[in-house]
Amino acid sequence: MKALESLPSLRSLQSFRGWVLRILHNTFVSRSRSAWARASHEPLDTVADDFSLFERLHQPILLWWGNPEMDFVNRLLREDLERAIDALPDAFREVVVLVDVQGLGYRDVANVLGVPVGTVRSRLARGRSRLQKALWEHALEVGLRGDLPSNSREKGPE
Amino acid sequence: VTRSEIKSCEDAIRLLAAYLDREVSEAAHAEVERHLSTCRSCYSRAQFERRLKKRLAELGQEPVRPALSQRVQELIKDFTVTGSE
Repeated sequence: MKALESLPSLRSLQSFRGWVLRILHNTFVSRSRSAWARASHEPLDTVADDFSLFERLHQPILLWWGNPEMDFVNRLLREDLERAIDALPDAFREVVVLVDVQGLGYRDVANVLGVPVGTVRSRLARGRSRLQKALWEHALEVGLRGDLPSNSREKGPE
Repeated sequence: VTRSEIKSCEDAIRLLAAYLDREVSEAAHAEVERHLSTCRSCYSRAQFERRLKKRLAELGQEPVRPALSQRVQELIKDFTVTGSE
């Protein structure tokens, strides 16, 4: 929030970009710093980017009994979400934070970061996929989804 | 978005994220809505993605006072309008 105090002195788009990116950095590197450092130096194209939490969790046969995927999201702690964002590579974390956390539109994000809108779309899709994968893996580690049917762990995309 | 006609769940899933972000055309928005009203699986998926998105949005809300948040939004608007012209 200290960065907000410097707002009146911002005079150019370039300085605004720097300000936004500084906030992103300050807000999301406080925890799991080592995990973040590892992930942020990872090449952007080495991990599959089609992971879907919904496809792992959704159980059509259980629709009348409950809703495992919604239960899952509701049980996530704020720190679970922050940790998953922390672990994203820089380029993905920026767009996920600006769109999903700050609520900016694609065009605004493109302007702030100085990249084409198509790049924002692409990074957002990949960033969200990785975020969901991180949440899934964390859930497996801590047993968050222990009451789900035993076959759901191996369940792939339909 | 010109490819807005939805003929399958794959088509709907491809548009879903942009639909939830309100980044599709009116025609595409209507197409997605139509599909969601007839497909239980895609409807459930949309509900799930919407809920997760809401949880992420909540991360940005709690520590910021409304006045500051509004000021930031105004500045973002000013700068991005200026920057895109």
